[in-house]
Amino acid sequence: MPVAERRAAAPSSGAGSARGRLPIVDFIAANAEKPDRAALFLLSAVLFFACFILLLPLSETVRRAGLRRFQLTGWPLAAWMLFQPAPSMYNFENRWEVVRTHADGACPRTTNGFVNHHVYNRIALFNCRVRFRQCPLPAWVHFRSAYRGTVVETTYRLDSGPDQHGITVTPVTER
Amino acid sequence: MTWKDAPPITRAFLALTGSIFAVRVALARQYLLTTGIQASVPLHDHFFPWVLREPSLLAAAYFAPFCSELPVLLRPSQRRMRRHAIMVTLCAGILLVHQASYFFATWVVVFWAGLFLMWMAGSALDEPQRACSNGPLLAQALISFWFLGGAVGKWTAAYWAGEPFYDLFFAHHPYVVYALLRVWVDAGALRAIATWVSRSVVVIETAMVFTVFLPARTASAITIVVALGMWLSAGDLFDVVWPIIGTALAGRILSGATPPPATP
Repeated sequence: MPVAERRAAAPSSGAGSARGRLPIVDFIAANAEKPDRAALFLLSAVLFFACFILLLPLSETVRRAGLRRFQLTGWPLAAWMLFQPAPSMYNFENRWEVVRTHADGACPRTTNGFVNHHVYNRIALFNCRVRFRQCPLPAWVHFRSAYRGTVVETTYRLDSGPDQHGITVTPVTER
Repeated sequence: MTWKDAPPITRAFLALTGSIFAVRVALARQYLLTTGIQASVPLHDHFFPWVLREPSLLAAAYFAPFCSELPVLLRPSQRRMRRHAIMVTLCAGILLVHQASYFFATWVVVFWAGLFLMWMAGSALDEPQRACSNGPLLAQALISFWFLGGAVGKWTAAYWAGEPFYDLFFAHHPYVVYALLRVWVDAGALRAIATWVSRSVVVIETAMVFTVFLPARTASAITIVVALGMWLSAGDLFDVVWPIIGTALAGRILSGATPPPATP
């Protein structure tokens, strides 16, 4: 049934949200009267992740976990997946450096710069991996992520994949 | 059914769905290319199991929501809204963990927006009166949360000095704003502009965390202005900006519902 047809049964208006009242006041009042479980669940999920974000400047453990999350080291896959909904746009001071055994045309021996957030995207991103494939391999990609005194560094070695198809990425060192 | 005829929850749902649909259309070519390269240049690494490297999973998670998006945008019904909300959330969840797409902030925003759509298509449609009390806060909480995630990670000396933004945007980025700046101003001035833009971003993102405590219309208006500013600063940020604007519009629509007639 189209939703428009349900208007008679379900008025198109809200009980709360009186002009001038703050949504947070309306929310508390409405849920004190009759809890909206789905809304409370969504808000709880937001608060859960927000707590971890707010712990970043306060806890060395959380900082290290956050930096390692970007470098795909030290996290079990399931835990990493659980934390993927945490927003982290342009977080931390992330730098990367690529070192090749030799330069070749458009492929300099070393390149470096900043990375916006999930640093491993410099390997996994479609245009980045094409460039790696077009340049001489092996190459070493060094990531350094820092946040308020905590530093995590990882080096990956990139080789040609099996049967010269794709790229094989191997973690070499982590600090 | 016209836009004006639709109940506020449906309009809010359509505003947010439309913004996500627009992103999906705009990125379709890029994801076709990404899928092709995921197949032709596979990345064998220590972290992602084979299923999260599958090009077919990437394509399915990206393109499948079109199947529910178009019907719900053309003729929204409760069933279609529910099906679509689940589809958007599930597919964004997959894209958040797939090797070729996990690093795009798009899917973080769309995942949470999908949960908001699920709430609108479920609990809100069941009790529309109560939903108009709860909806604006949920929209504002999500917006505050997204900006919190961006702000806290930038509370560093390098962002205050503008180093990452200078390197990522001002020094090399081909976007027209930065290309023109490089032509118009000398290197020292460019560096100074980068510093002040970076500081502005840190301050504005931090301030946006508090939109959850503002009146709904004010929060919505501020969010839209800030999001448009983000889009102006980097054209390719539309994939994050549009769903943020969609969420802000949804909150505004829900807050604008007039109180129901008193029942005896």
